[in-house]
Amino acid sequence: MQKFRLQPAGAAEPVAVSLERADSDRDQRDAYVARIGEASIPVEVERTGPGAGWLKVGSKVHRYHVLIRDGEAHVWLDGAIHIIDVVDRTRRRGGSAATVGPVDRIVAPMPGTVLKINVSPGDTFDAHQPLVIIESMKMEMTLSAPTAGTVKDVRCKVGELVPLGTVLVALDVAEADDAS
Amino acid sequence: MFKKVLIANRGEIAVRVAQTLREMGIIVVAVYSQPDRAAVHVACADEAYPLEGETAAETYLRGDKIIAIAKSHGVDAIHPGYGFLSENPEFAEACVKAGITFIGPNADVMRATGNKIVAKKTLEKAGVPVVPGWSGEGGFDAKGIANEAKKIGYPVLVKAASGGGGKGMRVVTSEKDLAGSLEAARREAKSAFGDATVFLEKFLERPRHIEFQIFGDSHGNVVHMFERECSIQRRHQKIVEETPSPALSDDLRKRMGEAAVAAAKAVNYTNAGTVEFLLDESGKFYFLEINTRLQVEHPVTEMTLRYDLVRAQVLVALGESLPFTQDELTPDGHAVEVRIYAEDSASGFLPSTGTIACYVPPAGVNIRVDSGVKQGSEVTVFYDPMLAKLICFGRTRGEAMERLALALDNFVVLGVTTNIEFLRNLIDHPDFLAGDIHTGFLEEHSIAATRAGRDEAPPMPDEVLIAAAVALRENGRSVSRAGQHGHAATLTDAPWRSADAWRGA
Repeated sequence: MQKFRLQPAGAAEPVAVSLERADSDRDQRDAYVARIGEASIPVEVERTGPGAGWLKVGSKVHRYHVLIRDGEAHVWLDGAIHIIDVVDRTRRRGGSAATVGPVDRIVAPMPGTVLKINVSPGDTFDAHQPLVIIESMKMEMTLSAPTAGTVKDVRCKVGELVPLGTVLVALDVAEADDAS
Repeated sequence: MFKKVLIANRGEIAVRVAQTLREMGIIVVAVYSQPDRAAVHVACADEAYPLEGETAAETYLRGDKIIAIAKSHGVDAIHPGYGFLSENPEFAEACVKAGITFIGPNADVMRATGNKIVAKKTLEKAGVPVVPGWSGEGGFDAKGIANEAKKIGYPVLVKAASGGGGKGMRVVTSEKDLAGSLEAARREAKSAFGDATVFLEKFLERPRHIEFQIFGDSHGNVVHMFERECSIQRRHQKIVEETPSPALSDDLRKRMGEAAVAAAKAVNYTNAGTVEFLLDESGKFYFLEINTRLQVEHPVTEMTLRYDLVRAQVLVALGESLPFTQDELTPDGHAVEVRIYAEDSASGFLPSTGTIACYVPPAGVNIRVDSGVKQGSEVTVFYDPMLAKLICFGRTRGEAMERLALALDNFVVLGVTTNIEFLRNLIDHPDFLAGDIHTGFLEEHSIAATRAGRDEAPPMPDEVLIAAAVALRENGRSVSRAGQHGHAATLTDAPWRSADAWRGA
């Protein structure tokens, strides 16, 4: 679960917003439970590009595009732009503030071709170690995890054309904070 | 047919002109300033040549540089677009002298219409109604002018003879303000247009801006292509234009169209132009000025008449007869255009600059978007901040406005502040929907700059927070780089942020 503290422009207090995966590794459409204050809201997300897609919140459908810049999220949603301060991001159970949540998989952040796979199932890796390199429009992108862990499964092949959001590698990452 | 045409312009109009030229099998030559080297209009050309420099004065206004490029690359004709050199008679003449066709009216027409005082006199003689006023004859004598102003009746408008875009223009409500306003207007006119000549006109209350598209050829044919209403203006610049005007009866339309043709004939008009009128509340209309260029708002005319005005411009420049007669021009339905500007509607429509991180224009049947930018484009301080024009067509005005409303709701621009939400609120205003508009509409009505500002919705809907969280989560997971530990300032590493990096690699 990842928790964000978001402060809408003009608001006095940040709001805690968390997303918990409801149904993992299914397909491109991801299901979550969003918690905003006391409320639990079922959410489905269909990504159409980096930072863009549509959401199903309850039964309501919304299109979104998000630009994250200078500690702010500029959220375009259904024709209106909202500016939100990203106060910090915290991990579950007192993980130190301002850390990225655990990554349990590497997904294609853009449609492209898999150029290189540096790991096999069972391999251990360090934080930020290059795991997969993909290419799109002659631009290479190196994918890694922010924490150390073990490779559970490699789900792509070199030369394979992968759509946006494809799970390339499944990971087991150390959840040190959970144990403490 | 021309083999090769140079477009002496940038932005959406250069893109739009290139489209028609390429359809006609003509090789398109672009010119570009240093900041525009990766601009959309360059990508739409077959050949592109740099104009050293950044500012308009160093680049797109340098007729000599542009003609030199045209000559050394075998260009047959130059299309000037609007603005820049489009209404400059010296440039039109220099083209002819260099053996290059200027696609537009000749220098004589520009001179006859460029000076507003001269134009007004010519047209008054031709029987076109003009706004009562004083032409500036007899020189700058404060007492004489005060008498003239009294004769016209306050409020009066002080205008620059060579002006445009509201520069050198002042409303004077009483005699005590006259001398000061005259001085200020002369100063402004001198610095903006190099000509301090001013004149007086009666200031009309709540007038509507109604203009007629005119078209002439070198065989003496002149037609009007019906009206466009452009009453919604901010800082004397149009932001919403539509046709037909909800204010014109068939009879008034006929009389104004005839006056527009008479005006065009009085100055031997050739090629595309526009005769602008003011229409007062009693239904009287007055000649305002003739613009000797393709207007920004020409697409609404194209949509209701289904003629490509740029194609007609090219044919007329080749010496052919107009591709339509007056009787063949029968407008159909309703078209409306809004201008998408990089500007902050909440703070006096000040231009906003930056990188367009996300640009997704709407699309669909009867929706036309003329864009001058793309994702990754830089909006700089050097040029006009208009990003695009959104034009919608409908069987009726109501249908066109409904289509426009949804199109605006689907127009995504992130990275620079735009007037999209302002326009969306504006076209929802009951007076606008009723067609009750005039040139002071935006001073009279306060329109919220954002959707939230208008709706008085809850401060932040849940779905907005959820969208932000989804994007932040994706951001954290898909890109992992040294130093990115969720510190807010490093979130800019997100892939969708760095459009330049994507393109550059």
